[in-house]
Amino acid sequence: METFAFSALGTKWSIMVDGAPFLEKHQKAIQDEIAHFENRFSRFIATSEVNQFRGAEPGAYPLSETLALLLEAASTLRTLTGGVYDPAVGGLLEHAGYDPTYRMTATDLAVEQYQLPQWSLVGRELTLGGSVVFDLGGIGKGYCIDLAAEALKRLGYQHFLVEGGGDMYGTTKQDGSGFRIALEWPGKPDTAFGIVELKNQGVAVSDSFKRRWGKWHHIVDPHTKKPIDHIIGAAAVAPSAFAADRMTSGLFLSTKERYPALAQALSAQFVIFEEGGTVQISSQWVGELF
Amino acid sequence: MALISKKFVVIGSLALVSMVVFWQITSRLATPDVVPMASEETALVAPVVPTGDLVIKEESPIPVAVQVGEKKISTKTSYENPGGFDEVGFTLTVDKDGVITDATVDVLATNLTAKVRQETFAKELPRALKGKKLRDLEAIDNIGGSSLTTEAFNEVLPGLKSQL
Repeated sequence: METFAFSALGTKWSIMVDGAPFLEKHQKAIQDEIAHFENRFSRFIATSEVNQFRGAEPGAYPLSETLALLLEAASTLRTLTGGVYDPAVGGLLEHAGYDPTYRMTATDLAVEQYQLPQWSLVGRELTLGGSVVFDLGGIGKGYCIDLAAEALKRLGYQHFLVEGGGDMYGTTKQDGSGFRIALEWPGKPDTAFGIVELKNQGVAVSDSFKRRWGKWHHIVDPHTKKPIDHIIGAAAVAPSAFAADRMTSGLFLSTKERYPALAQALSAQFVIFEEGGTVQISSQWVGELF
Repeated sequence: MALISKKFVVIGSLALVSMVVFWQITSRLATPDVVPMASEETALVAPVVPTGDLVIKEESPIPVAVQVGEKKISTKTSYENPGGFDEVGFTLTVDKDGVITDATVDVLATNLTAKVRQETFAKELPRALKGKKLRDLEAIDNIGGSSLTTEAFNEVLPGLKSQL
């Protein structure tokens, strides 16, 4: 098996190919596709599509097909989490310091004055109440992993594992077995809490340890304007990386009674590490647990 | 647990709780008839006789997972509903004094209506995990974890580097 590693979307990626040589021109093609996605949808790139509404007047705006798809998925996740997941949290993250300059120091007054912008979507038309900075960090990486997987399939590769910063999509190995993925215990990078075997599935793992600064971390409730503290880690397995990514984001930003509806909507299994030390495991979890 | 079937589950779970805990203490199989608690050492939930619309068939307690100082016991029972008979699983958390501190419902129903009702209020089964060191695992293709960040983020946070 060959593994090709590279950086994208602010983190480390790898593509493992089985049963065929991974041609260099194809490696470059996939890397270019991911870079193109990043240029279009990263909050940290000034000319990206998600930054075009910074300073916008209230009104209706047409969206590209992909941005409409992403915001539609975000809108559904917003409903499933009772409004706690909202990509319009981008502005708050910037006031907290997680901005394109990586200031990493909060402007407390801006945080205090911040109000979650209103937005709604009908088809490909976005209606805004005013300026909004969208952060697709909770769902975009999963979408991009699937994008890379589709590109690999189009290029003729059947057996591969695409990894983007610890989230993945795997088909199968050439012998038909799944890709064995150890799942990192939140906050303990040398320890696994279990193993899943991916067979045409995506997995996402999320925790609140690695992106911390001051009293903040990157998963923030836009209404309380505080980082989430009742959950410290979550993992999800779903038919796609996009669904798995949405699932972990949804879980972090939900209370327990919302889990079943989330799991059903995204066809996902999950594990949640609560702050108090309890681990919740969905009844359909098929991975090994230690 | 605010559903139509809540009544059945609450009654069933209380009945079940009492019978299963009694089994734990006396190490005898519980019978479908509820036996009043005789023990003085522990504080137990009072037994509740099931009403006519819930028929306890039989149960076989299966120890599931343990946390320090407490026990989780899992058991299945059948109940009759208008759609026929279905199985419901219960996991009970019993602390070291034998007090029931938690009860959750496991989804075992084959009847679709019952399954939907059960799933909407009791999806997760808590267990105790210990974890394993990555170096002790074999034939791992990759490690799923939250994403490490690249230099831009790291450089401004001296504290973060040591975590990575």
